[in-house]
Parts: sequence; structure tokens; C-alpha cells
Amino acid sequence: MTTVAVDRPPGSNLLLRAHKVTKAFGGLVAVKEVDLEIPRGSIISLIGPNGAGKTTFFNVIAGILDPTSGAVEFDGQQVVARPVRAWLEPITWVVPAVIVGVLGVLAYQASAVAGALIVLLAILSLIVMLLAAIVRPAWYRRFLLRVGVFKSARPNEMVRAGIGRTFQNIRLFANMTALENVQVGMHLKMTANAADALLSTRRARAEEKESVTRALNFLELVGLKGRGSFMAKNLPYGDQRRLEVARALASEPALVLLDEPTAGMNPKETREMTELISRLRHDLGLSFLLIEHDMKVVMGISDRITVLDHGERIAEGTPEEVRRNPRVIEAYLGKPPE
Amino acid sequence: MTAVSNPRVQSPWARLRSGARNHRSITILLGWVLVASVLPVLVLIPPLSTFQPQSLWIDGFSNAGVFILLAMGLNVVVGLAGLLDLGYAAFFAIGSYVYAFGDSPFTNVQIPFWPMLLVGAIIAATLGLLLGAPTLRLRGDYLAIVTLGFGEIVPAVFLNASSLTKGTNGIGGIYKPELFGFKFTLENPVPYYITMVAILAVTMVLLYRLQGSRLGRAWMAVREDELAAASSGINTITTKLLAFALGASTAGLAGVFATSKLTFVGPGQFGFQVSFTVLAMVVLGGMGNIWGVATGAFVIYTIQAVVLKELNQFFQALHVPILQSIDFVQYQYLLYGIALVAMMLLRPEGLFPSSRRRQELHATSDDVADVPPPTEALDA
Repeated sequence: MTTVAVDRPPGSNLLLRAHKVTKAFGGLVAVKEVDLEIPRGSIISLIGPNGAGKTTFFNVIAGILDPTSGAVEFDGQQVVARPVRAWLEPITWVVPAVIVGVLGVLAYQASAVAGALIVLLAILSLIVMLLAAIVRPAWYRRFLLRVGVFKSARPNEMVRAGIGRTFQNIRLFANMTALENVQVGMHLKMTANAADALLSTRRARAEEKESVTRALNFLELVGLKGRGSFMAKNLPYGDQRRLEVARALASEPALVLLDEPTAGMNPKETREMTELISRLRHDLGLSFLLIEHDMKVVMGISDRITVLDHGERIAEGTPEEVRRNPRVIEAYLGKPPE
Repeated sequence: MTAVSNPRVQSPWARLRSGARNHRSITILLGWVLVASVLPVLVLIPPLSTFQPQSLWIDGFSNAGVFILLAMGLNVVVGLAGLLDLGYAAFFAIGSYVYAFGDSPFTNVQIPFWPMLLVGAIIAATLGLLLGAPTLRLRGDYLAIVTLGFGEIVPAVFLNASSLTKGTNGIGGIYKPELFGFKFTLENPVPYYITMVAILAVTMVLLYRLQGSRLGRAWMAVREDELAAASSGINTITTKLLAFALGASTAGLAGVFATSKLTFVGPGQFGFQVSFTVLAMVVLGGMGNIWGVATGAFVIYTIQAVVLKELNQFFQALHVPILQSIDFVQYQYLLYGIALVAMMLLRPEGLFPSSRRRQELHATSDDVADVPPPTEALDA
């Protein structure tokens, strides 16, 4: 993998930058060297015919798929790229245990009890390292970086970095209430751990109470006031889409990835969703990356549009430029007869 | 809810209900005190009193408590986090052996019962973490098979490590609990009964607190949709591991208590039947609903331990032609199977389902308008 040289001026306005992202599934190259830049506070759309690789590209950015090559930087930090020196990671699990184990064997000659204790310590350190590798707490990731191992952020770490997302086919927590759905979205903004919950500490109770208030605010923001106690699956389709947006917003992201936010909506719902997105950008200063098929929506709210076809970027520019681009017209309508 | 917004028009019942909701932990504790004091009196009333003497009943109740504890623990794993665990008895075994090692003439160690409760829970939780770690990438059927394997491996280890565990013979003569010089004996079941009720009450309070917390919501989110949960910022791996660890710690508690009461532990006690029985209790009781699961476990244990035996005597006394020659206790698992099939067909959500699950299993596509009444907190 080639580490991407960061050659942007300090204090840059760039929130996300995808550099030559390629993703191949076996022989099929779904996304091929796609570049994308999202400035702060902008709405960027990703369009293209079906099967163009939009969702694959999206999933790479969201940390669900590892790219075959290329990298994604968010807020100046590389978050997604092909793993570097991944082979080193298992060695780091074993090395401390081996060192302590050897010490233990040496100590055994002096005192059997001390030796046994130190060997026990070696086993313990192995278990701790393995558990850390599974859970991947922050210190473990920092440690890996120091050793020179790079692994892409997991979806939950992307949320921590500040990227929220919705899904093409709605993925709400169907058997939880709308309010609980939003509260789950707040997971990272809350701090109560298992011990707090068990002891029902004052802090945990206050936080819980506050989370309800804030979740209700988010519901109101997307226009779902008074629907908090409805099971997510019982909500009408348009409301489910909006609830997904509310859940994504609840993690207080800087960038929201929306995968076909108006799919299957009627014109009125579509208009409301478009207004909501513009309002969120305006009021909260959020940035959006949109995959969308509805050209009216795309042309209406996007600052810039990137067009994919067969995994390649065929055009990039303002809505007006893209609309007139012959390659885009060709991709959508086919070549005119000669 | 109107009753909350103008408290003056509240009926006493409504006031009681809202009080119970605001002070859940106290309500649960009071509920357990009530149940625990009513049950011994209840079994003095004729049909029940003819079955067996009161002391046997009380003894049976503490045994039932062990299964209630197991069912409540498994409910966290299966009901809340949605991880189908078929080897739950492994943690019961671990708790039992921990007590056998910690407080018996066999190892010549004598740590009192009360700290051992905690030690058993902690060791079981640690092993729950370790056994849970390899299964994290699996779900559904595959997870069930791997946990089934663990459920078989753990008793097999205790069976074959005969130098440490006396193999098939098991460890006997384990010390009984003692509190401030008061010794628990086999003749008097009441101290065990009270201890069990206390353990159950505290466990239930803690589980309810967990369920309503940030962690409880994360468990449910993982159960509903793992990818969406991860994309909402939940570390699904930690969340699942914690579910395993908490479920295991409850089983560890149950193991310590059961062993202190039986004063014996052997590898034969932790077969697949135990895992299966507890899972059946969770499913029949109403997955995801803590008190439903507890009640389900109690009902099933009582049927298994008392009712089937009484059924034999009942039919024999009446000289019913075919039925009097059947030994119902022997057909226990057949009856189980029939009950499970019947439940799945008639009432798949269990006897006492959580409102959530009832809707899940009975909702049809035209139920969309049929939404639950909004709860008070949300409309306020």
C-alpha cells in the first residue's frame, strides 16, 4: 500500500478526502481509483446508473469494506486504507508473553514460586493482548500505529471519528421504539458503563434522563414529534427514513452519509426530506454525502456531484456542469445512434 | 398519561403503579419479600399440603431458585443480546466446581460461602469472556453449534481431569454455608430458602437496571441489527462479550449456591439437559422479559419436580385404566417436547412475554395502525 502524502495547507477546509479508492471483489473491480473531496459544510452527491459502484464506495468510506488500494482521510487523519504490516500484529500479541515467560523460566531456577507466578503473568499478558486485539480499545490502536501497523477503522470507530450514516434499505432497530432508536444513536455521547448501570448512580440516572430529552429534540428536528413511543417497524415508510436520519444525527457527526434518502418516497415526502437536509446543513453546519437517484433532489441541493459508471469516476462538478456533460448523458441514456 | 399530569384525580391503584415505576428497585425487592413470605403459607393449603410436607416444599423452592437464576442469566444472552447459547450449563458447572475447590475437605481450602459467591461469579464471568471471544464472528445456527460444543467440553474437562476433580466420582463433603456462627443444615431448608430469595431479588434488581441502561439498549440493538448497531457507534464486540460475561456470572452464582446445598459436585450434573431445560424456561417464560422468565422457570421446575409425581399418584388412586400404569416422571422430556411444540404453535412469545416481543410475533402487515399507547414520558 502506498501511504498517501498529505499535501494540503494547514487549516484546510477539507473534511473528507478519498484518494484513488479501488475495491475489487475477486476479478470484479467494483470501484476503480475514485477520488472524492468533501469540503466542510457542503452537500456532495454521488450518482450513477445501477451497479456503478456507488454503494461499494460508500461502504469503503463507512469502514465496512477495506479498500483494495487507495485511502480515505477524515479530518486530516487517514481512517481507511489497505492494511499495512498486518502480519506484525499477531507477533505483538505473543512477544510480551514470550519475554515474561523466559524471565519466568530464569526465575524458576532461583525460586519455584516466583517462577510459577511470572509464568502465570505471561499467560495473563497473552490473554490481555488477545482480548485487546478483539475489543480494540483506543490505547491498543495507538500502540499499533506506533509499531507501524495500520488497520482501517471499524464502523463504530468511524462514528467516533464523526461520520454518521443511513442505509439504502432501511435498517432500523425494528422492535425498539423510535425514541430508543435515537438513544442508541447517542451511544457514544453517553458515558455510563455497566458498573454505573448496576449501581444506578446519580450520574447514570441524570444522563439517562437527559438522553431522553435530547432524543426527543432529535425526533422533533426531523419532524417526528410525538412519535417517540412508536415501535420503529410500525412507523410509515417516510417516517422510518426520517428516523434513520435522526439516529445518524444523534451521534453528532460532522459528516452524514445518506444512501438514497428519498428512495420510495412520494413527492411530498421527498420535498420534506430535501428541505430537512438543507436545513440541517444550514443550522448545524453538517456536511452530507448523498447517493441519490432522484435527479430533482440531486440537482436541487448538491454543491457538487460526482458521477460513477462501471466503478470509474466519469464526471465531477457543479450540477450545471454535470447536467451538460456528454459522458454523463451517455452513461444514463446510451450512445446516440451514429 | 393523564394520570401523571394531574395527580389529584389518580386512583390508588394508578398511584401505586406510577410509584412502582418510579421506584423499580424497591418494588422488586418488596415483591420478592411478598412472594417469599406467601409461598410457604400457600403450600399449607389442602391440595398442595397433601403433596409433600412444608419443609420439602421449601427445599424445592430453593432448588427452583437455582433454575430461576440460571434462566434470568441466560435471558441476558438469548433474550436481550439475541445470542443463542446452547452450552449455558458450562458456566453453571464452572461456578459449582469453583465452590467445590474453594470450600471443601478435598482441596483442604476453606473460604466461606459468602465471598465464594462473588468469586464464583467473577471466575465464571472471566471464562464467559474467554469462551465468548472465539464465537464473536458467528451468529445464529453457527453460534448455537459452537456454544453446544463448549457446553460439552467443560463437563468433559471436569470428568477427565480426574487428579484434580476425582473424575466421575465427583467431589463430596463440600462445606455448607455459615453465617455469624449459624450453621446451615440439611434438616432445616429455611436458611437456604432465605439466602436464595435474597440472591434472586438482588440479581433481578441488577438485571432490570442493566436492561434499562445504555448497555441494555446496546444489547437490544445488536440483537435487532448488528451492522446498524455498529454504524450507530456501538462496539458490537464488547457488547456481545459483556452479555456472555454477565450471563455466565449469574450461572456461576447459581452453581455456587447449588453446590453448597447439595454438598456434592460431579460432572454428570451438567449435561445438555440442563442447558436445554434452562433454554426452554427462557423461551416458555417469555424471552426478554425478566420477571416472565423467572416465573416460567419456577412453573416449569415445579411441574417437573412435583406435579408429574403427583400426577402418577392421582391416576393410580383413581384407577384410571391406561394412565395409572404410566410413569409421568419418566416421560418428562416427552412432555417437555409436547409443551414446547404446543407453545411455539399457540403462543410463540412465551407465557409472560415482554410487550415488545408480543408485538413482534403477533403483528401482521395490517397491524401498522395498531400501535401501542404512548407511554407517559414521551407525551409529556
